[in-house]
Amino acid sequence: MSAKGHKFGGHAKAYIRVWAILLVLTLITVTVSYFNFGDWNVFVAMLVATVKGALVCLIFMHLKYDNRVNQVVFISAFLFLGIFILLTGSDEWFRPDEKPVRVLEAATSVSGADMEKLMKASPELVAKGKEIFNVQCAVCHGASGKGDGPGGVALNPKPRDFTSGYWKFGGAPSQVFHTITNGSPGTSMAGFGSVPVADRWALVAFVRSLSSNTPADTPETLKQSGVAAMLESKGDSGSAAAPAQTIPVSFAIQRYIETELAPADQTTPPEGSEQTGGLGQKNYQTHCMSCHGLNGKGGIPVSVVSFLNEKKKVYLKTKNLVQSQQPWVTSQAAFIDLVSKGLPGRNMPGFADFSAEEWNALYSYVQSFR
Amino acid sequence: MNHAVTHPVPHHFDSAEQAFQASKLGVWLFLVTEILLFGGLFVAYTIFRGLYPATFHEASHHLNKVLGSINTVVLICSSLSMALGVDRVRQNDPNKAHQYMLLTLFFAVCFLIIKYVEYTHKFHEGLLPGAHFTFAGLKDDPKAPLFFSLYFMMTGLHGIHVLVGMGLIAWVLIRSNRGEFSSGYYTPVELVGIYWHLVDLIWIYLFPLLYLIG
Repeated sequence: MSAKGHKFGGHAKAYIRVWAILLVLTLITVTVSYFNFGDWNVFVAMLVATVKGALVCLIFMHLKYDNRVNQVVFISAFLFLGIFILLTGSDEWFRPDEKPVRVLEAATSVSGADMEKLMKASPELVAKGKEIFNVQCAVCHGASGKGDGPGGVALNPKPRDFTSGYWKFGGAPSQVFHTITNGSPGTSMAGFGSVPVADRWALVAFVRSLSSNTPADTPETLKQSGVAAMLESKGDSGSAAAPAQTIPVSFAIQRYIETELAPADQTTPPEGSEQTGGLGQKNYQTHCMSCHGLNGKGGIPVSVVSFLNEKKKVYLKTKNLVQSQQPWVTSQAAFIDLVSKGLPGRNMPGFADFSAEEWNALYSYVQSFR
Repeated sequence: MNHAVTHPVPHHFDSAEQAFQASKLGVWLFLVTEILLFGGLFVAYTIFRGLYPATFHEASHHLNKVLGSINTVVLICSSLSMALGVDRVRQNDPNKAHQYMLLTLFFAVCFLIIKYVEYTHKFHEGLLPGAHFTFAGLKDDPKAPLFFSLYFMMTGLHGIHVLVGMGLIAWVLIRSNRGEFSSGYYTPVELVGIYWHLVDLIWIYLFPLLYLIG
């Protein structure tokens, strides 16, 4: 019953020789590590390790004397390990440098010469501003700019009444432009930097036309609002086709997250406010407000996904019920269908246990935002 | 030939040789999965080292090169004594074989004791994975804990293999003591030997990657 195929009795001498070589190789690899040869350190260390590994496999593990199948099987492990490392590594090694992206601001920018024209109100500009105002602003500020829009009823502080002649941040064109662009911190007034520059100047013209108190720009207000810098920087391009500014992708994402994804609505009723809408308002504020906002403007982050850099988050946000033209906001049947079933996978739970009266009240209340 | 205890050939094999080869193929296949198991960690190491070379350079200086080298020598010696032990079993020399296997166990214990000293030192210094990382010297490098995550995962998984290997060596030692093995049947000893050399083989790569390339 002798094991044929391994006629390798008495290998003690070979083992001891291999052991001695392994010790010498260990000494070499440790010694080399005390010197800095740059990339060669990795190469030498891996080469020595592979020689050592081969000796262990071939002699100690008897792979040299083993049958061909076992040799192929074991060596295939390293082949697959190599594929594993190379394919995964290629993603890292051949990933291109960050490509810059166009900035929205630059794509809609206007030249310095055009900007100066835009800063002077004309009847055409005021008319254009009124159109944009009706789309972007009238929801809160009211069609006549008195701060009496339906979306602004429950806001605290109330939306500005432009006919009052009071300007919190100053009434000079550049100051109003700055407020439209950046919003008013601590209030529901969001920044409208995504509205094209020319349109924002039209809004300035319209809003100022509502008031009797319209101070003119001074060098100081121009500088303070940053408009002076815009006039200068745009001046050198001279033509309408200003070169697009570029920024790295990671910065663009960060900018996007910080500006575009800021919640558009508050999720708690202002202090001291009382419920006036009855059943619909009660149910809305109990079940819906924490995600859809006090005034249905949505934009509230409801699920957080880590993106690229672990510190930055991307949000799944609630839809704006005020502006939406989807059937589930325009038809009561579709509204009840959607709200009772919810939106699985998009963090919208279903709320089925309302009475017919409650459904009516809730739907009417949501409609009151619009 | 010494046939004091004959091992019956399982009925589904034609011969003892065929049974031996089948068992060995099984172990080689198992070792393939072992290499790919560690392979995942080696890939993670390769990628993160490529992404944060400076971090890996700095962090590896906080491993004890001398203890790592001693452990490498200890494992190589244990591999030799295991190989000699298997050889002695095959030569029908159980007494010498037992001595070699006990020596292998001794080296394995040495390895674990040194590893314990290293781990204790890392725990004491706060050179720990992820959120547990409190070492002040590398506080400025947010990726430093990553190196120690890999260090503890790789050496920890390897340490578990050392423990399993010790258990297996103890098992064949006991069976050998009962006189179950001879030149006619020594499959378990041969296979445990191959497994033990794999433990050595993996350390041969772990040692330079973690301790030396700095």
